Amino acid sequence: MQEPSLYSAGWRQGSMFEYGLALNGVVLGMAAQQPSLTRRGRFRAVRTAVARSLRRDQLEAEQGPVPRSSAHGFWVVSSQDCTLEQTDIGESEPVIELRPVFTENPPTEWGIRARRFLLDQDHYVDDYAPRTSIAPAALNYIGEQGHLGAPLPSERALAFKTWLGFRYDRPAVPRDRVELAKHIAEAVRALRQPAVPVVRDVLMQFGPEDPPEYALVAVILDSADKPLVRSWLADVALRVPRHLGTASRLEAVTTSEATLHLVENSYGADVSQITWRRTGPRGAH
Amino acid sequence: MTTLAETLYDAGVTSVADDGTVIHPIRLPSPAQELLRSYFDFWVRLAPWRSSSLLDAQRQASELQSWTDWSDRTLAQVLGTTHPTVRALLQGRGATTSRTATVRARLREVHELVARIHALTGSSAAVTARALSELPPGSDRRPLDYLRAGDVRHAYLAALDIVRPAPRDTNGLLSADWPVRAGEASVELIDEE
Repeated sequence: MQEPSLYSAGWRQGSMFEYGLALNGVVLGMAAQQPSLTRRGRFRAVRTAVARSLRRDQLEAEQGPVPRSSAHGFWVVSSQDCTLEQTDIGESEPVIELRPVFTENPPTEWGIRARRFLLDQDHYVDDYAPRTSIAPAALNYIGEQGHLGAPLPSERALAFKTWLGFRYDRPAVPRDRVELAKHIAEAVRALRQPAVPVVRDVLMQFGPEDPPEYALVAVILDSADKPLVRSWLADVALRVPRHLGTASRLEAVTTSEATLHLVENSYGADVSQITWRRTGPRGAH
Repeated sequence: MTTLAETLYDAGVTSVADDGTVIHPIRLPSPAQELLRSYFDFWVRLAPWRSSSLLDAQRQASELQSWTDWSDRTLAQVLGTTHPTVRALLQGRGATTSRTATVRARLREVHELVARIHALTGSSAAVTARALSELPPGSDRRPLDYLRAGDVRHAYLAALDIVRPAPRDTNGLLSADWPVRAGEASVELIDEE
């Protein structure tokens, strides 16, 4: 008979709990951080003398990347629900990802694209904080000790899932196209009505010239919206300063007309930044 | 024989020339005046005052003609005005009224659009003019028709359909124009804490 899973035991992506666990990371040893000092003979002699008096792991610590560990007491499960469903509660390998939860100085916005994300009014996660992996057996033990927290409300759990995905898929552009891309994104934001509610995404492509030609392609769900959205893209393009580049293609395509080639060779202008702010998600899914 | 200018000078009258130049006499103490008058010009000439918007309009109208080879009459139709008004714009003349303000606003819009089309045609006036006066595939209105109706957005889209038709395959699927290389996108577009 199959063992129950973490999912059936009540764990969900977004489950928060309090328990003291190690927060692990890897940092560079002291000596390697100061190459200018290590080249100096006097410093090298002092370092060798100190090293002799230290334990072996500390000597190694000075010579390269070293583990750094600290204790943390508040966590959220960030592995997906399907992973929790697939793992037995007796599994002993650390395959479930936890992120540390913080309460000090929480952000003021929900931050779907931000580095810090509010789980609820008081608790947030920080993408720059190290994370920890835990064995399902250990997580189940924590739950059995009465530390299993309630799952996040559905809309926050969905927002957390989206935030986690976005952290690995943030809109980024080549350095020499930043100013142009920012102006496009700002124009999209400024002119958000009436098109943004029917636009799923705005894709940007940049030509090689300087200033470049560029293409804007809006991905929409209903082909009946094409005339409206193309006209909106023309407004966006006319608002972008000419010296930064010239729009040479303004298209609206349905999801079924957008090829993988188009998606893979485009940069996202990030319509979601318009719809996720203080008020939380509005139509970004 | 005394010229009109000398008469005005003697009368100490400031005059305005046809092109708007302001001419103002400078009076010196009488003996010096009489002595130097035959050697120096004692007029202060001030160039006619033109507002920056008027200068901008003059430049924009002039550039539009050089980018498209449009006549005064065609430009007037595009701007929804008369060709004498266009001529005045090209000469940097014209008072600022609500009517001319509307024409100048439209001139700015058309200038912004045509500058873009001109850049896409390799800065060729002939190709730019053709791109604006041809019918796009599957359409019954030319970019010029949209411009005459004051619809710059659709004029832009119609011109793009002529100079850069979308590279759709036989199934109507759209591909990218330029390849992206992995590792190039190193700067985050939205920088939020």
